[in-house]
Amino acid sequence: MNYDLIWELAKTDFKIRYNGSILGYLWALLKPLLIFLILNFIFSRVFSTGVQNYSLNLLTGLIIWGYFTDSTKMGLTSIFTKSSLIAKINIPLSAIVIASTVHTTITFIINLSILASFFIWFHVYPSVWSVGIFIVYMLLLYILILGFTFLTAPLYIRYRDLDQIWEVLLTLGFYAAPIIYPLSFIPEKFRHWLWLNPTGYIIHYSKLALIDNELITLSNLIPVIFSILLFLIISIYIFNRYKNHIAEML
Amino acid sequence: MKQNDRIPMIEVAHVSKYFYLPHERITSFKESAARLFKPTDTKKLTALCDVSFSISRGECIGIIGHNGSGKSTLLKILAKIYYPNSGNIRVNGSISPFLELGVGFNPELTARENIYLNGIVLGISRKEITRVFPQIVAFSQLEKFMDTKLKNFSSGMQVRLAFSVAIQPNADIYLMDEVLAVGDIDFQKKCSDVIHHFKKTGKTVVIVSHDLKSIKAFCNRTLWVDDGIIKHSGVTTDIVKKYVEHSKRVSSHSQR
Repeated sequence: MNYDLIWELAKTDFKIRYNGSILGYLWALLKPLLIFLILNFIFSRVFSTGVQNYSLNLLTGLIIWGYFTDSTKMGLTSIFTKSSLIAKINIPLSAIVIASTVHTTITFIINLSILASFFIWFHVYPSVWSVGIFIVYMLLLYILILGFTFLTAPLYIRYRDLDQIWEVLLTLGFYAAPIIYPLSFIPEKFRHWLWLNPTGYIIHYSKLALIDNELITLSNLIPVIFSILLFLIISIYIFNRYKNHIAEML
Repeated sequence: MKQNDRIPMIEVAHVSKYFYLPHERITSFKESAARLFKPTDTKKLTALCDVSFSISRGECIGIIGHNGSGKSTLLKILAKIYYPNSGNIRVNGSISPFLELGVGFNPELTARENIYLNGIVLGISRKEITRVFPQIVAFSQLEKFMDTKLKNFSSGMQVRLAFSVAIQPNADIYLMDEVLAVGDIDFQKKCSDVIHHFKKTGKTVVIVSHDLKSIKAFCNRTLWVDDGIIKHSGVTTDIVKKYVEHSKRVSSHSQR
């Protein structure tokens, strides 16, 4: 694995993304906070949900969802945006795919420290176990993002419609995940439909662990870990079958 | 030393490469859906057909041919950017490709940042770049502009910077595609010095060029690629002579 290359590509993406804006990198932190302020005003003042710790639930959901949205959008176009490189030099494509997930992950980790200060502000202190299970969920989310990127980045070379479709699916996913509402708002018989959105599942149980100190049992977690790992393996397998032909498809 | 000369650095055996070009490229779901039930009319383009040759250590090989003859495809296969449809390639050593100067250069980054980015893309480690950084800067003669963004560089300055990085990897084989024809006369002199230096230190060099003068100056052996096959190969002076005669005949024929 070429760490120098992954790091250099990720650093360049990062510099270029906020290049020329006055607040620069601050936007990565400011954007989710501003969206939070708007939604928080609407759902705790205008249409009150009456949920305990609503703001904290909302912010946790938004930050995790923001990470998923940002990473998958960047990942989908990651190979395409580097096509000038790929056509001219034999560069490991896996490094390009991994690099695209690195800088969004760093932004996410910084956002998490802001989230932590909100927990202190609201006097909600998760147990060590809760934090531990939350870290497991975030690792699962990362593996999900990586799998998605390995699968879709080569496909995007051939099907440029994918980013439009993905944009719409992300909007659907946002409302089909317990972010602006708690899971209890959904009638029991529809809940399993919600788990078609794995990120929604991760968000729900992360909030449960961090805010309500409710831990999922291991027997419930293992099938989730297993299916996400399987998804990554299948994605990498497909990626490896296509990678040698990508340069000539550009 | 004599034995060393016979070691094949690159062995290309029966290599063929095709491209399947749809008459109109399908790039959206709707178009592919519309074509799902129709037989797709792709055109099979043979870029290379059963090409075989070998290059020994320390040789400097020229590849010439008209536009679209398959030279660049051949070079891209040697650089492992394209994979052949059939045939084998054995490369005995590390390759440094110069298919384009400044691969990965970003106009929004400074010269210093671009040196690191380009160097790492070319496969040099970060540590190694830091070590040779003064050499790169000295060779490019751009000491004063290291913290200037690349977009403010003239194209000549960009090329100088790119070339200075590109010569750094200590590879066994150097592949060059039309990189000799850049920069002013002083810089071209520097480039030719570098190639002579490569030859002196026993490196293997492959040059693709339309500039027959530089092919004659550097290469002992030349391959003439035409329509996906090697039409002629041999001592540079002979091949270039045949090539020039052929070109003249073709152009006088088309004029008539």
